Amino acid sequence: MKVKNSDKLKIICKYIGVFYLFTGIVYLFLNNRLKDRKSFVLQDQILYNYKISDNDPCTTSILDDPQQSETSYFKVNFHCGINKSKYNTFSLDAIKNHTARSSIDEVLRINQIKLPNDWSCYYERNLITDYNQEIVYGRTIDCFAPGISVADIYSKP
Amino acid sequence: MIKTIKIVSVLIIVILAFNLRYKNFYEVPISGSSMDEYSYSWVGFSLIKNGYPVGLSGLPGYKNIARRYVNSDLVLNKVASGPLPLNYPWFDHPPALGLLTGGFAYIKGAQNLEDIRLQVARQPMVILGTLSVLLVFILAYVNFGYMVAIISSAIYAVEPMTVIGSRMIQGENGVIPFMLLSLIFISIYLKSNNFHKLIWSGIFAGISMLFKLSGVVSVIACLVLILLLDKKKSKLVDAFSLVAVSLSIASLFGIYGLFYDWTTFKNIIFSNASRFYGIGADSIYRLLARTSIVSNKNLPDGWILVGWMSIFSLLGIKNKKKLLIIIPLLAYLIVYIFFGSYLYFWYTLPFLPLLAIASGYVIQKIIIKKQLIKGVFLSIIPLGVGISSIISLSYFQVFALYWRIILPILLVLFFIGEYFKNKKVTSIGQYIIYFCLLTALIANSIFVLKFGINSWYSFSW
Repeated sequence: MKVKNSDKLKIICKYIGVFYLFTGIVYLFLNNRLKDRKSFVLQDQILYNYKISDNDPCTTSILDDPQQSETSYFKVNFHCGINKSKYNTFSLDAIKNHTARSSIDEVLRINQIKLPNDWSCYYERNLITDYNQEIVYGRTIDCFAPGISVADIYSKP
Repeated sequence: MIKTIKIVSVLIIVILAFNLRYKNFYEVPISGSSMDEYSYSWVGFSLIKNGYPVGLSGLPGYKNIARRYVNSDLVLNKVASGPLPLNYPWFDHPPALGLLTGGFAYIKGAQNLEDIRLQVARQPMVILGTLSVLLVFILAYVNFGYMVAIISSAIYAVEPMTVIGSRMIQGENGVIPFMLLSLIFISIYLKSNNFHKLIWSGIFAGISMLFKLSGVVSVIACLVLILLLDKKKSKLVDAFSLVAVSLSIASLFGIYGLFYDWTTFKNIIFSNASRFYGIGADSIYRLLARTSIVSNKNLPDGWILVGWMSIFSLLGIKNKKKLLIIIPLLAYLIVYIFFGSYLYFWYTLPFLPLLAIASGYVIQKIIIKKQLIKGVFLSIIPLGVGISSIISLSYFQVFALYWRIILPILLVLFFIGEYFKNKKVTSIGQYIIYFCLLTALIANSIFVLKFGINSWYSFSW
């Protein structure tokens, strides 16, 4: 099909006119539909929800890079047996409340694991009685399966 | 009858291409090879689900940043990354690819970003990769005929770097099919002078920019092709039309930026321009010689080297149609060098369909012209690499004696045949070259089919 130069320019002008008219309509429609986009807040439920892939806390661990989070890192370790432990290093920047409960929950959520109720956890080798207690960067929580104690792990040569 | 055979051959190649891409598609490359794969999908998913683009970046210029552990595919248990820097609204790249993969994950039931798994999100990539094989065939067929198209698409269907690279959720894998479509339509336009084909070429070139801004290669290539190959006086009007159509579509990315946050959008575009130039001064050497898909993971692929050798060979052939391959390749080389940031393999993916067509063209020419010595060199590279990828070096010792004897004999025989123009020797030589190429393609297919998660860790080349 042979098209004259003047007709080509007419076709292009029409095309661009229709294209931007359609784009404008879509823009206005979306602008109306997503009115509150400017006040968007990134909520946790957009990112993830808690799910369990494994019941054994010692199947996996976070491979964090302490260099990236060295100013804010925190450790949560799970000891399932004397020779079966998993060590997790993670950044406290990723959680809102810096409490024992929220840090343990965050590690469980990331690893998609569950901690049995009969386990006991220690913050800097002191038994945690109040899980709402505040925690500090650079420290460690250790959680032990029944029958395993702090001494079993930390007195190893 | 011949027509049926031709169609069946194309179908076999496309089905083979799909199967090679589909087998182990979510295992290899392993999850976490590139966090971009998740980021693209998260952007598309969050756009559809929440009306707002959230993705990974780390580029300076974003106002909103949240560091969170989003553990899709338990990737943070395999890769040491720290909390992920989530930025919003995300403007690193246009959102078309994310809408495709994230949208697919949404349809398949993902509820949040962490639910998006590569097993689901990579499925559209398998389709796009297979479609690209068909488009390589069509582009080569339109310009160089059936045999070149069959050889090119067969190479592109099975070469390991292409198959495994095409599974990744990377913008380049969205750019490729639309770049090929724009080249197909510009080729038809240059033959038929049908103005609507030119518009279609512009539309596809524009769409390729919505996958990644490096898709501008399609616009540049089509524009230069019009200016060089269009013999009409109206070629300036045609060139203007192409640019107007393609840039109008590409402008959607700017409108998208305006819609969400113009200041951040501008910051990120400028921030991209000042990225670390990680490809370095040796980028061309690495482009030609490197076959690693991610750091320290080399794959056996002799076709890339054959492709570059074919490009150099093409430069010496007097045929204007070669420009339909050379110009896009040069255009992407310029884009690659200019925008180059890191030595990631996926940045080189758009070269591969063009290299495959160049290989197909040169191999076909060599066989027709009975240039047996050239043919041996071009076929022995992928053959040798293909064999060594499926047979261990110790097992190869069983065949070493035959290889040592047969290869030199062939070289001498082919030299005699070519030099003295011996018809018998040259026609046998043609069949031997076909046989070598076919064996290489079969070896590549076997390698890719066997290359699962265990091979990823154990295979070294």
